[in-house]
Amino acid sequence: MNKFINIKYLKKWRISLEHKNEDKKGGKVPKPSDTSLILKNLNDRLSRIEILIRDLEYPRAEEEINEVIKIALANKFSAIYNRANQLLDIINKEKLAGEFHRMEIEHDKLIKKAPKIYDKFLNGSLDSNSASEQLISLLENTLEVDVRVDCIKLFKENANK
Amino acid sequence: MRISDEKCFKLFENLLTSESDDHLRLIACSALIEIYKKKALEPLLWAFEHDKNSFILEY
Repeated sequence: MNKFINIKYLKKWRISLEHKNEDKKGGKVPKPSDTSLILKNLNDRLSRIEILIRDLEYPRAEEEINEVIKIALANKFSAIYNRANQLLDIINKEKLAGEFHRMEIEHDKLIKKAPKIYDKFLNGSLDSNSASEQLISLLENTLEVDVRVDCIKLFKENANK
Repeated sequence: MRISDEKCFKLFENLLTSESDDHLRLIACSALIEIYKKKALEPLLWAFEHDKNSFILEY
């Protein structure tokens, strides 16, 4: 009888041990709560957003951030919300810097435009009429004072040539 | 450089009479005088009468 009880006990013990081993192998992992699942998902999305920003994919990154912010707000995840806003700031600063750089390039191009027209006139690749038409058009269509002054000076200096 | 007369004259005249930047007005004024001479008299007189800065006197 005693022997029988021991065997029964051993069987139970073995079953409970098997369960424990299954858990360790990942077979029967306890279910994560919804909150930790959402958190994990948001953290993954933030990592993806960082990559998008690194790859200069700002529109997609912004889209993702806005969604992350919505979810973070709804679930009151302040850390995620703050990080998403930081990333949004980074994007805005990068966009602004990019825009400023583009404007600098445009400005440089514009500043050189009138002298270039004049150079073309001098080396014969533009005739007198075309050169003056281009200068007039530049004068009419730009607000950049230096460029307009250049145009008028060129007219003045070359009026009788 | 041959300047298409009427178009250019009108452009400089507009600059002289309605441009907000002093430097640009002054340079348009000098261009009108040097290129168009007598023809420039009318807009110059107008500017002389109406321009509060009287920059033409400086020129």
